[in-house]
Parts: sequence; structure tokens; C-alpha cells
Amino acid sequence: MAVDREDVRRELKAMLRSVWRQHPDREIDPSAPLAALGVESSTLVTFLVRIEDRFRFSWDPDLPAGTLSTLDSISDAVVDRLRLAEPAGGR
Amino acid sequence: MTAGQRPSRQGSAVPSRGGDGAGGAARHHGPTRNVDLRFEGGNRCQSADGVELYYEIRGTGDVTLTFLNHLFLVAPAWRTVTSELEQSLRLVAYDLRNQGASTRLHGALTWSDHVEDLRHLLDCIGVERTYLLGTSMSAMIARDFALAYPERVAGLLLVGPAFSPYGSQRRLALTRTWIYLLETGGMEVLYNHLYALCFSDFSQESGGSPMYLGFREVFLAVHSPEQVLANLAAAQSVRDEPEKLTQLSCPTLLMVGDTDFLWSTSSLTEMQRIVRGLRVAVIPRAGHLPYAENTSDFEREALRFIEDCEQQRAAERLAVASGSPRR
Repeated sequence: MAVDREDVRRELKAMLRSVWRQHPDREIDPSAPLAALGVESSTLVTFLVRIEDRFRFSWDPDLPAGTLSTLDSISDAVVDRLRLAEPAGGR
Repeated sequence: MTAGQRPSRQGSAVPSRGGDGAGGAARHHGPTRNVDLRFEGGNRCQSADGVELYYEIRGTGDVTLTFLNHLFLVAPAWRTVTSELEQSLRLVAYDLRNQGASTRLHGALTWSDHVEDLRHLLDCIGVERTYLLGTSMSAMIARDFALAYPERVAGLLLVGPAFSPYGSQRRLALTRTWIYLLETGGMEVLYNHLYALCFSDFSQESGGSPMYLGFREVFLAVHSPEQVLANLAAAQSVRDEPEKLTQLSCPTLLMVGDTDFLWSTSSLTEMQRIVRGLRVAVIPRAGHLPYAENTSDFEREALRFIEDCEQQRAAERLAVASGSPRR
């Protein structure tokens, strides 16, 4: 099944809400830097771990800095990984 | 755990794969866009030269514990590693000048300003006496404050201090290297070096790529290269001066991770030789940042130290009041 970018972003937003317990009601602007929204490092790490578990891949430690700075950029990185894993013709 | 099996972590602010490191509750101030919300819920006080210091106060205990950030930390970071301490102590965390939400400065910094800033902060928030927790470089601020204003320090908690009981040479060499890395490679290169150096093998294995990548994003977002360069340069102006440690008059706890790159069995022994009544706590499965890597042990040791000190003080007051000699 083709990966839908919007579906991924929606799911990641819900996932971030579930791990960001300090601010369960806060509006999450997907284009805003997560650190500027107040997402602390431990929360971001937990979020990244959850993504690995949910989508069954491991983050590449060689990802360029900034790749995981916003919800949008994280969604893009996840979609890229999922599309790489898709069988040919699945797009 | 068998060889090759990924370690999992409990009781730590560093989440492991399969774990959940989301921390305790903080106050919610409603949705805001494009504003740095890491620094909500705090206040600011002014130091002597007009520099504003951002601070946060949590907990309602009678005893105050004040946290001094190291050069790569900001005050809100303490929230996630002090949820137990908050239950029984009044906690004060603040950003040093030219750090976090405190005033950014242009040009050179004077290290001794940090000591006076702390005095102004305590005056501003009405704290007469406090326990001081200094970590890495800021342990030198805590030490110097305790020497300058001994009546205001109930006890010192030196957590992975950057000074050595032998002298300054190694720290100065390390800091020179960090400045060089920053100037030639930028913040990302500096981060890579510090990450490998500061976190224990256990933390790095259990945290994996999410920990490395997640911490990197926040590190790069929170600190500007100009700030870090100025703060590191200021740290080069201060000396370890082991003889100062012999002059400490307050109860002192030295807490280090068991893989802290700055400490060894012999240097801990040397510290115990020169610091009167020093208590040492070695935190397992932790490197230079035991509060982040083994939070539960960190909080337990810190609380135990403070409770013991308070009991001792109470016993001394009682002895004085009853006219009986101190045991």
C-alpha cells in the first residue's frame, strides 16, 4: 500500500501528544521547531523510539542535523524510510 | 543481561528503546505559536550590572536546593530529573548569564560574575540559605560561592565536577579542544564529541540512535555557537585551585557517574583526603551526567545527603539549646 504523507503526519501528531505528557492540550504547529514548542530532549527521544517501534525501522545516526527538528520534517523522514521499504510499483 | 543484548533503562530521564522517559507535569499556559515555550513558568531577576537572570522555582519544602547549570544545560531541563526531589524540597533552577533565557551578552564574560549573579538571585527570591548543586563547570561556581558566602550555603552537591583535586591542566586542555572543535567544525562537531565523551556506554547502548539524534536536535536548538564560545572562553579564565577545596566549611557531597571521563578511583580518594568530611556517591550506569542517565539513583543520593545534613543541623541546634556538648 502506498504511503500517504498526510496519514503519517496525523499519526505522528497523535503519537507526540501521547508522549508529551507535560502539555497534553498544547497546539502543535507541525512547522515549528519542537524545541521551541517546549518539547524537551527526553520527550523527543521517547517520540523517536515510539516511531521506530510503530514503523519497524531504526533511525540512521547519520541523518543530517535538522532532519528531526519539526513534526513536518520528522514526517518527511518517516515517509522517506517507508517508501524506501516499499516493494517496486507500490508508489 | 547477556553480551550483545540491548540494555534497558528504568528510573532515568534518558529513555531507552521500549521505555518511556516522559517526565513529570509542568504548568500549561495555553497554546502559543512561534514562541519559545521552554522558558514558561519562570521569572527574571536583575543582577548588579543589569543582566537579567531567568529562574524557575518548584516544590514547597522548607529546605531550598539551588541548581547551577553547566555550560550546555538550561534551567527547564532540571524539571524532568527532579520530580522526587520536588516532593520535599524547594527547588530553584536558573540560567547563567549568556545562557538560555537569561540576558545574552556580547563580548567577553567574567567568570566571577557567575558568583555574584547567584548572590543577587538568592537575594531577589529571598533565600537566605540553600544547598547548592553544581555540575561539571558550574561546580566551580558553587565552590567559589560557598567560600565567598559560607553563611548562605547549607551544603554543596558537586555532581561530576569539572575541577580536579590535582589541578587545572586537563580541564584546560579539554576546553581548548572544545573551543577548537567549535571554531573549526561548528556546533554539530562539538556535540558529537561531547556526546561520545559524556554519556556512559550503557546509556548510549540503551538509548541508541533516538537518544543521539533527539539530544542533538535540542542541543543545537538551545545553544548558539556565540554563546557557547563565550562561555567556554570564560571557563578558561578560572583555575581549579585544589587548595580552595581544603577551605570548604559546609557538608559536601561529591557525586560522580561510574564512567565519568573526568574521575577515577585515585582522584576520588584524593578528594576525600583534601575535603573535610567529604561524602562520595558513585552512580552506576552513568557517565558525566548522572542526573540524566540514572535519575532515580541521583535523586536518592541527593535527598539522602540533604536529609542527613538537616538531621545533623537539628541535632546541633538541640545540643546548643540544651547546653549539652556536641557529640
